[in-house]
Amino acid sequence: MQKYAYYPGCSLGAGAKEFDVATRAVFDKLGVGLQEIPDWSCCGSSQTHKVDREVAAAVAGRNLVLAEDIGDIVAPCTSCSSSLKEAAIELEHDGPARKLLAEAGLEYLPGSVEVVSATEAIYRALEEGLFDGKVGDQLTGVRVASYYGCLLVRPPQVAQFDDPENPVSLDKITEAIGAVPVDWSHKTECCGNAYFLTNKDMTLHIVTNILNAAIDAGADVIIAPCPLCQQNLAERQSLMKGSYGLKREIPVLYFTQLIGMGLGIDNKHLDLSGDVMRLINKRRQEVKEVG
Amino acid sequence: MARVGVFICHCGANIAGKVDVAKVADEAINIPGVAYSSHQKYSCSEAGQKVIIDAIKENRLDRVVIGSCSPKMHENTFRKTIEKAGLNAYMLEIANLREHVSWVTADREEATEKAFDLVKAAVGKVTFAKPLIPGQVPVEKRALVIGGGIAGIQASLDIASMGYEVVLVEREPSIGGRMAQLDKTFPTLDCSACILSPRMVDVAQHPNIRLLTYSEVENVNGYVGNFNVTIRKKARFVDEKACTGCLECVGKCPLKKKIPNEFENGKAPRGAIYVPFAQAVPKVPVIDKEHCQYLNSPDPDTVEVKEGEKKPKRKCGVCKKVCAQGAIDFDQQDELINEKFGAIVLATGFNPFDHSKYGEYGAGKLPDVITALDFERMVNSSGPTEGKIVRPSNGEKPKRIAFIQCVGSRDEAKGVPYCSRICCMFTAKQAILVREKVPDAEVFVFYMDIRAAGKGYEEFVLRAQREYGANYVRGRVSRIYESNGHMVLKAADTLAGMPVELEADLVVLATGSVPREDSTELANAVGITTDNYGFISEVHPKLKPVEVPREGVFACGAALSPRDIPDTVATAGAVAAKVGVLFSNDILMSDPMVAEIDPFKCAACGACVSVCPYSAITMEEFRGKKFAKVNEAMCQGCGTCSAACRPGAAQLKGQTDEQILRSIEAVLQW
Amino acid sequence: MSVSAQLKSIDMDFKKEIERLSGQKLDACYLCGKCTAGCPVAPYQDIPPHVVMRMAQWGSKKVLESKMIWNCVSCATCYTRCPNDINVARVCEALSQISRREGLVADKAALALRQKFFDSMKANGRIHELSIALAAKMANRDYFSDIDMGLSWFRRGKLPLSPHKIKDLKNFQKMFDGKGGK
Repeated sequence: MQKYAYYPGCSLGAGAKEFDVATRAVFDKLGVGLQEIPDWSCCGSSQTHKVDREVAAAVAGRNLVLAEDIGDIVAPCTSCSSSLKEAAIELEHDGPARKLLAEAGLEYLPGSVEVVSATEAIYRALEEGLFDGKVGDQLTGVRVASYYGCLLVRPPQVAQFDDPENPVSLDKITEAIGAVPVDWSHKTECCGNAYFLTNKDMTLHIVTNILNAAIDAGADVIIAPCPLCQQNLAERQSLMKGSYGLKREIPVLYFTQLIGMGLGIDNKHLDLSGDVMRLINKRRQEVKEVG
Repeated sequence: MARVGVFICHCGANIAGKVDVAKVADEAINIPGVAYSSHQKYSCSEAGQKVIIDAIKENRLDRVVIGSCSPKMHENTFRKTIEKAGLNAYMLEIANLREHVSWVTADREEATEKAFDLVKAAVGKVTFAKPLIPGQVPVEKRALVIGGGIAGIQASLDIASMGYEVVLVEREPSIGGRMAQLDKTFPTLDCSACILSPRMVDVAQHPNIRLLTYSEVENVNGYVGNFNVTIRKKARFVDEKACTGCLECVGKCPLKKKIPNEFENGKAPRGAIYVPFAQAVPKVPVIDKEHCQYLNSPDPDTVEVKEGEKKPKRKCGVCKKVCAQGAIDFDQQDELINEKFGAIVLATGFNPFDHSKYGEYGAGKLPDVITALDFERMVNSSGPTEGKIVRPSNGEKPKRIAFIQCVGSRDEAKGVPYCSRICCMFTAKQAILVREKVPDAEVFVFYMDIRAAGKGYEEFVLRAQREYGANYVRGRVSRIYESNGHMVLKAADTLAGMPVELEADLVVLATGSVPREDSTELANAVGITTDNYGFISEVHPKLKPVEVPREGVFACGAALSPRDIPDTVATAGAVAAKVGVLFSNDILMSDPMVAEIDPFKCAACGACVSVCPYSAITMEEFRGKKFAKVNEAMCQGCGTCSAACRPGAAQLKGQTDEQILRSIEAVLQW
Repeated sequence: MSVSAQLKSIDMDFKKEIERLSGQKLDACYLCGKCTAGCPVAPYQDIPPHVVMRMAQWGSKKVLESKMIWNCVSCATCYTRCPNDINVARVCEALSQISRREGLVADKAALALRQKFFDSMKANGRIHELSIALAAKMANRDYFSDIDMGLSWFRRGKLPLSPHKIKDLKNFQKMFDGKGGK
């Protein structure tokens, strides 16, 4: 059985708990093993490099070293996968980050592990045929807008995955699980990152534009590959309906939650809220009646 | 004993500013073989040359070293100088003290030392120089012009009008090129077809021009004055002599609405038998064998049929049935034509940049984002919309049109760092055409810098802005996406310092100019070089702008670099003048610095034959002994054979092994 | 930031410092504005990214007072599309670091956010979301918004009150080598 070194990242132990649960369940169902990296530490995420780029590469690099005995790393959170990928590039040459790593008694062998996002790993599983025979009709007719956000596919030098301007991997996965991918304009527009904490007004404007674009494209649900994206898009929709001009509320799921549904995984293993379940079932019912 | 004269040139301060020329000249006198040494301000000046001539005569010098600029600049000058003093022109060696020393060395002492080393090497080499006599070759006074756009048309007409025969080869079914696709031309707004088609007719009717359309050059051998060229005349399946151009066949082709017409940039259909456009020259259709149903159905005469089965019938063949002249000939084959030419002109033009590389602009998938060439066809009354400006998505009249400049120009990340030169102007023209045809439509032009350096150009752009009200916004567009039936542009106004979000109904991308997709292939076939992008390299961008490094080959128009019609026509005329100069000679002197093979040393291994890039070496046999022999007329003096020859039989005259070894020795010993 | 100032000469030392910290060549920028055009946060700033680049090209320290350098989200939109392959986010990042050193921070909350994040990571090996969120809110004097959201998260077990410490914290902390202090 194929096995990855699993890097959950800090968010998946807290605000993005359901992403962790659903991701593990989906990999299990697909028959791809996940072994959590022992004593993993923070990847540095979107903030550390702003304070100190060298420290950022070193703290992310620590996890690469710890994964060396297990195998290639899968990191569900986009911020994590991007930071780890960037560190792997930074640590290719003998610079200050390697020295900092050495302070902790660690040495990274360039190229020893590959880092992929959960999206990449699942897309590979799809291409390898691991979805075959596992997809039910739970999502028939459900219109899904795949939101890729920024760092999953950007910058191409780091992400090295999918098309930076018009990515399609999540759409192809969506199609494979029996749902209907919706082509829309804002799939790679940034969600505003962690600035909902410091510059809320700006973030609400940005997110409203994204949500409205998905609504205009006729989506029933949005899927996101990253805790920051999911939280920015999902929370505070009631606030956005006011002066920000959000057209209506729309559910935003982690993409592994939706895949889990498509693969027939029990809802309690996906940590899905009842509201979302009801909405999706209603949509399915409508399609059945029409069809 | 040789008597070498050494002349060190100051080149003003160019060399003397970094090299102690007096010291070099003083020390040079001590080099064995040197009988005379001096330095002077400008050796290439008339006074400077006189000094050299006098010194040769007074000191009975028999060979000369000049320490000066690159031999590319003045080797020929100085060869003539020493010839005037009675020496053989090849008893000369240039030490390049400018490009190789003073311009690239910071330290004066180091520069002086290096200059002296180069002088020593030159003395060592010239000591073993032998007089060389150029050969004579006759000139075939016929020109081959490759490419039938405005560049090739103009060059052909000019050369033909001087009285020389011209063969014009065009790979498309008609001449006309890019200019035929354009609607109006800047800055005068005269109709492109109106000024081009008379020239096309002139070409067809000129007694000195033979037109070969639907043909491609396959191979070029030979040398200046005597090129042997193979041209493939592709099967047209229509007899050019019999066809009257009634086009009855074209109207009857069942595929007439099925195949994208290349001339219309794929935006309108053509049939399998077609002429690309109404004013085509020649007005003789071609059958596209890739699509024709008849040609793609099995031939009943060759197909094997089992007993009891019927022989299959050919499909279609409608064109043949309707042709009153019997001009359709499905049995026509490609024809290979071999001819001799004295000069070759490359006028192969350009392609518009392929905007599928711009994912941020929809990669060619957004229906209402079109290219400038699409727009030219759209706005042209004989184009796919008969001149109406519409949104391709729904056929409606656009209310707001945005033009984006520098798409595939000045974009290093996309591999095109250069400016395409014409886009600022054609965009201004297109903005004007929009405002003329759809006066209530708003026009926005997103630009980075406006480059309008041409006669009447700046005024033209100002007219677009002031008289026609085109809104110019300085900033590159980041992204285009579709939203509620509009194209949304994420842009910026860098002068206002603000982001811009603009909804447009139609977006026109000013795609830049790139070389033809097979430009390097053709360059290889002709034996010339291209630059990093694939444009043909000229010998000197300022002083030899239409000459290419292979003598007797010239280039003009956008095959050299992006340029507009006036510049294209000017270079075409320049090429014609150059060809005329060449053809004013009945006989050419050939460069004597060619290879020769000593038959007594030759081991007949054939290594030189296989490495020679010009196929100038053949194996011969004389009284049972095999040896390699150089055709001096074909040899270009590259020296590859000499490097490959193990017994040392192949020697490049003027660059013999002995000369090179002696020059190395000179540096090391003295 | 106030814009009243006059450009008089190019501060080469400051330019070099920006280039060193950011790893970007400032003069490679020809100011086409494509970064500004695609930037998700530019419409909400004092100056747009291409003006940051221009002021950096002058070596004008005025740029250190801008909000933009603190609000760049590092989404790589500019870098992905830049015709000259410039990572403008890195330039903003470098400028914010210098701005902090010189005491010219225009967005204190953004600084608090990244510093608290850094400290939280350094102290525990993993970050503690709750304390970072609180620090950012305190810096903005925004004490009450999102309380309902916080409570709902708490009820769903998504907001642990205490941080998780990694086992090998001692060695982890050696990587900081005294860097990134206040």
